[in-house]
Amino acid sequence: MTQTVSFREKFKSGFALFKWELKSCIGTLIVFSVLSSVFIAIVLTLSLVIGYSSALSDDGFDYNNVLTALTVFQYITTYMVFFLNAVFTIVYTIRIYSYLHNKRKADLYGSMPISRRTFFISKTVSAYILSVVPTMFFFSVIEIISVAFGQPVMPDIAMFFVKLLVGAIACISFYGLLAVCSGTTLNSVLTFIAINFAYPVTALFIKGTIKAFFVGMPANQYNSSFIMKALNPLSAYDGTHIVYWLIFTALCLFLGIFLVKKRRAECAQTSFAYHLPCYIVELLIAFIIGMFVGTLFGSLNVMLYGYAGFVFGFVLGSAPALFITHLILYKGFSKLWKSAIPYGGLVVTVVLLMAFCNFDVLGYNNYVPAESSVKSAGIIEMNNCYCSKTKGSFGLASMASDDFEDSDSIKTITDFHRSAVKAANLESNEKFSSIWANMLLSNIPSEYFENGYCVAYRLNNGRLTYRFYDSTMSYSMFNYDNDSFDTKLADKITSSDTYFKNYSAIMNDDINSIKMLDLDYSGNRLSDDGYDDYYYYSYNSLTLHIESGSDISDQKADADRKKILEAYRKDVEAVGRHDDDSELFTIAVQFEVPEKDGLSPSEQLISLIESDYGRTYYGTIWADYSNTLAALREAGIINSNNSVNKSCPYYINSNPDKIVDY
Amino acid sequence: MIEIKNLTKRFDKVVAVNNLDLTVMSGTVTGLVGSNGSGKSTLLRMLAGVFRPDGGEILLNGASLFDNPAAKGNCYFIPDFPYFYNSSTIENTASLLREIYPNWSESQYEKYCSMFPIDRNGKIINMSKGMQRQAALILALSTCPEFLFLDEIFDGLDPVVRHLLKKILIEHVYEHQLTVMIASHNLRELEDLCDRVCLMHRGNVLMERDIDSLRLEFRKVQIAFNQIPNVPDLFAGINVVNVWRNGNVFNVTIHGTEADFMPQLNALNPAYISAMPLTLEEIFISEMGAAGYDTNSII
Repeated sequence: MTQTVSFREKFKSGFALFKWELKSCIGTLIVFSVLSSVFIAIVLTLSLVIGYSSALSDDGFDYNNVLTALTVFQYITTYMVFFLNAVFTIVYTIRIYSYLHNKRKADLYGSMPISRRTFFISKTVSAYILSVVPTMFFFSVIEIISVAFGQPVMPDIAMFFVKLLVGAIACISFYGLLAVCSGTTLNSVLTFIAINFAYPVTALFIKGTIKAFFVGMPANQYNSSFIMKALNPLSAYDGTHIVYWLIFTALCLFLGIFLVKKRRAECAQTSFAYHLPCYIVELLIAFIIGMFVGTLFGSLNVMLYGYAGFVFGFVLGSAPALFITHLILYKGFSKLWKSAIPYGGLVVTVVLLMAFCNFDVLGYNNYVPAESSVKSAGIIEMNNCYCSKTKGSFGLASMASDDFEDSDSIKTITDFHRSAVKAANLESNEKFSSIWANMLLSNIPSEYFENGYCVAYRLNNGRLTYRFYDSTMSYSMFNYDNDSFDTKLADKITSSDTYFKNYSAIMNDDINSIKMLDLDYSGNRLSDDGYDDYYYYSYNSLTLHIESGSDISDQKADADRKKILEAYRKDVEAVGRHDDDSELFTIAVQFEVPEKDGLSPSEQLISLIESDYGRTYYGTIWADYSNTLAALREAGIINSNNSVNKSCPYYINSNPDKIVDY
Repeated sequence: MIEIKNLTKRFDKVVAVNNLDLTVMSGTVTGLVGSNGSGKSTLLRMLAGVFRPDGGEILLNGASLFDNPAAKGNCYFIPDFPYFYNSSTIENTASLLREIYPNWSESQYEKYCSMFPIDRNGKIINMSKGMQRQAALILALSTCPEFLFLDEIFDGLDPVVRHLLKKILIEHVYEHQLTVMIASHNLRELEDLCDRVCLMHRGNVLMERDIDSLRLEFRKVQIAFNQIPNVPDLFAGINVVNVWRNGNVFNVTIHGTEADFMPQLNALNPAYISAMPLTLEEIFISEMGAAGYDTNSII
């Protein structure tokens, strides 16, 4: 006979437990509150003092200085509360789930008239609330103070709350699951730390290996993928891959709820109740140490192109690593043989996969499709590619593969591909040593920012094949024969009209996000990209800035820019580009860089370093670009004979005194 | 009523409780006695729903107990080392229990707080072992359980409180049909309190009997001879549990009443003979000895 308890009763019990947790964590909460309050008070005082003192000058009182100081206050205090929250979340969480790891607590809670699932849910929700609510309170205090002084809340700071929420619930849920699986609090903490740190390193090793052994495979597209940090919920505090972390949180929670009912209470103070996390930790650490020693021995290049050395090194490194990890987690040798089974599986898998990679069983590296088997093909020069229609390596490659169907172009592309394959010097025995370089440096998304090329084919059978090559191979330790990398072949493709239409920013970026549009009149022919020559000619030429000024409103300048660019795009589509000397103007356009959603801070930093912001794109206006010339006339920029209208406000605003008029 | 059927619990290779069958009637006090490691505490933990049985079942008034909050609401378990948080007081622990135990009685709580000499707002963790048990008892009795499971409850209690506890339990049993199971090595206290006693050894029940009849079933007989009769077996035909000889003096534990063995012993023409009932402790030792728990070798 089974008696049931109503949801109301369950909720009542759960709420009673929450209040009990709150009482038991009150000391920690007070410490958090005091630290946060004191820190906010100190930073606010300093910000106001500095802000007001700098605002007072001989010219009067400049309140903007106070607002700037308050912005600094917002950032510093938000970061500090965020950091304190992360620390105290750890404290609350460990404490809250310790009921699973203490025999006496297990007696107390196990005999209470609350189901194990209700208990676990209640504990988890308590951890969420204790982590998020106090921090939300202090964020609100910071925002209220800021608004009271007239400084609106910065969007970045509002975003902090989302990051905190996602990070906290992901970490708490993952720790909760590990706590259910572990028998001691120490093991829960150790497995949490070990998985969080070992998983990303393992993912890097795998990516580095793929990159080192399969030249041309775009492994870097996974740099910012959730796969690289799938078991590292600490990275959820980045605020990226929110959907993944929500799914991860839900999975951990459901798995925890499912397992907690079956968990044996007597496992408290033993090593593990469920051994899977232990196996994961042991395998991850054995893999990392094994790969470290294996690649070291592999790079000695003794037998079978270093493969034998790798296998020896992998076993030499991984076996003691597994043994020591097991000793730490189990405080002895018990169940060592059970750990040996998955370890054996790991060794066999790694040895087989590494043989697969090392001996290039499928011939990936040397594969260049026969021209007869290619339906269409294309090349993308990564440094000269702007495409808003698609994202990622696969999308770009898929698009490029449909660019050219004529046999000449296909031959050019396959020839270029062969030169890249030859340049990779695939007989090199230094693949193992290049794992390290690829592992560490491949985090830079070189497919997009280095001197990279994508070669893509659509085969007759409909299959897509593509490779990514770097003409300098600067991050690789392969013995690249750079001379054989024939970029001139690629230039034939990338200088074509098709390429310009498909991959130039001037043709593809959002027309509503024009930040700057300049016209450069020289009367001389510029190179296709106009880049190097631009500076030379601009020194001696007339540049018209199509922007607002004393006589031109923002709206008019904006409308003129859009009209000119729309007309220009029409002309390129209709007329194409020329090789003759009939160009009239160079058109230079800058677009607003959209928000880089989904990038981690480090990736945003890389993006900044790569000067992704404020890049200028160039095009040429030829004499038969009737739509563009009509738009320029309509805007009053040129006369009917296509000469520059010197009475045009844009001409005046462009400060003609400083430029030489031809 | 508690029905335990084929109950088994293993800890890795150790079988703590092995196919145990036991029925405990409502409104009784049952003492669980047995050697160390005999499975008493494990049995109590399964009864309280802390441990999940590996085999068999436990029914409390017909309801399966494990992870069944409704059934557990009628039970309370005080383990051998009750857990209290560092900040726990009787008062704040009561605030939790009164919300999760359906039968919590405020009047009982007030009554027991006044009966036991203990500060309800003092931190329990700072109290002595005996005081901590008193705190646990106050909380337990205030939940008005139908089933009370106590593990080594007399440990650390002073004689006055022990007496008080026994009095309260007997009252509760009488007034509320409370069913109590107490695991203890303090057989003297159990003797005063229990209706029945269950002797456990190696995860099994060696013997489960009404305590009064049990005491009547055994006799400790001292018999001395001027000259030991020349017969092959002095006690043939008598249900002897244990014999200890010192010269011409025999100390014999006999399962039976005087009517069963006195005529036969008198026929041996002893110089001196006396028979008296065994204490629970003596029964325990003799039964355990019979079960192979060799007290002499342990000593």
